[in-house]
Amino acid sequence: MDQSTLTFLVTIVIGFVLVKWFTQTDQHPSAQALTGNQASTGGVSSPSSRGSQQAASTRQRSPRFRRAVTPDMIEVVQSLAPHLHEEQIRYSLQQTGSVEETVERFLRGDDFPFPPGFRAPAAAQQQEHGSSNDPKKRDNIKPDNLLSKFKVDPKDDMSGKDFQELDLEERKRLLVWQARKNMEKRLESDTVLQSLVKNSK
Amino acid sequence: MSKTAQKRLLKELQQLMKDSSTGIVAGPRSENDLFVWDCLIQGPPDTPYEGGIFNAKLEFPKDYPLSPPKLTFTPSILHPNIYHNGEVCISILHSPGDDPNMYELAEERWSPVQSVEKILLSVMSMLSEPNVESGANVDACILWRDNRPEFELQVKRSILQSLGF
Repeated sequence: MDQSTLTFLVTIVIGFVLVKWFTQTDQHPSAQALTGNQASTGGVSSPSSRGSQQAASTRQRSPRFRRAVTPDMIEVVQSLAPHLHEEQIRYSLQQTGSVEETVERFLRGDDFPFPPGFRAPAAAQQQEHGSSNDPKKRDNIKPDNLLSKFKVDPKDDMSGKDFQELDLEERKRLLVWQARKNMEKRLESDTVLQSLVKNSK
Repeated sequence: MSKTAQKRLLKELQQLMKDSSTGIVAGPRSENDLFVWDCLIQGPPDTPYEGGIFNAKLEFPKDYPLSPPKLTFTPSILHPNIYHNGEVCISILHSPGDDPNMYELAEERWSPVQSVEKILLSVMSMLSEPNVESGANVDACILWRDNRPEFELQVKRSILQSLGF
């Protein structure tokens, strides 16, 4: 074997490894282990362009076992059933092979099992993690002391100031000061507010 | 693109400083950054929010006014249409392209003819009339619907605390 043949062979091998690497499935490891014993089924869930191609070959190899599931299909079902885990949907889709059938099952109220061997606690953890990761759910409902935030002293007298002549910061201070003064007045007569102030102390 | 946005923001700022609606103060947080505004919004009268002053942050995209700004209450307040983190969910802040709920009318949504002042006025009307149909804070929706007195007490308590009582 001369140098060029060797280089050629090495290139082929490296290329093969790379292609394998890139077409690797992004499936959950536990589900992947399942597919593992079924004669290396490339990617049931690889991006659709490649996925459909590969899925076709998967179908040829083992038509009885599982059908092709593309991320698009999972997405469609998930949009209807957001609380279901991706693996539950994937497992159901693999059994039914069609979005319609899976949605039908969901609407019928059927159980959506996790794939056998799927590590449920890990999933629960992931879900919990996911929900706390949603920035919109991060609780930030709390009162903020506007007097200190805008450096307003209730003892100041700002009543003579003309709103239109003030700059931005002064306008904010005036607005807060007025609100404070109005609230002081309301507190003199409003018993509900009085009890709220008393209770918070 | 960002030049257009800057010009437009400056113009809106001048307009707001000249004759702003009562109960609204809005302007850039610092002089070096026109794209982040700090706003104060007064709670509308005859609502649980009456007498309160609410602080919010407006973040403008670089392609403003093509895309809408993002409004976040800092800190957040208890309201059916305000997320826990303070983000506000109203139709005027959604660009016509992305309608999360699929039922908002095109004319209610963001378009370049809207302005900061209109947004803040919409927020004020949102404070007086929560839309429970498209809730952002589910707990607040339920409380508002099922136990209005408790909802109002919680809001008032937080207003009192924010004014230093």
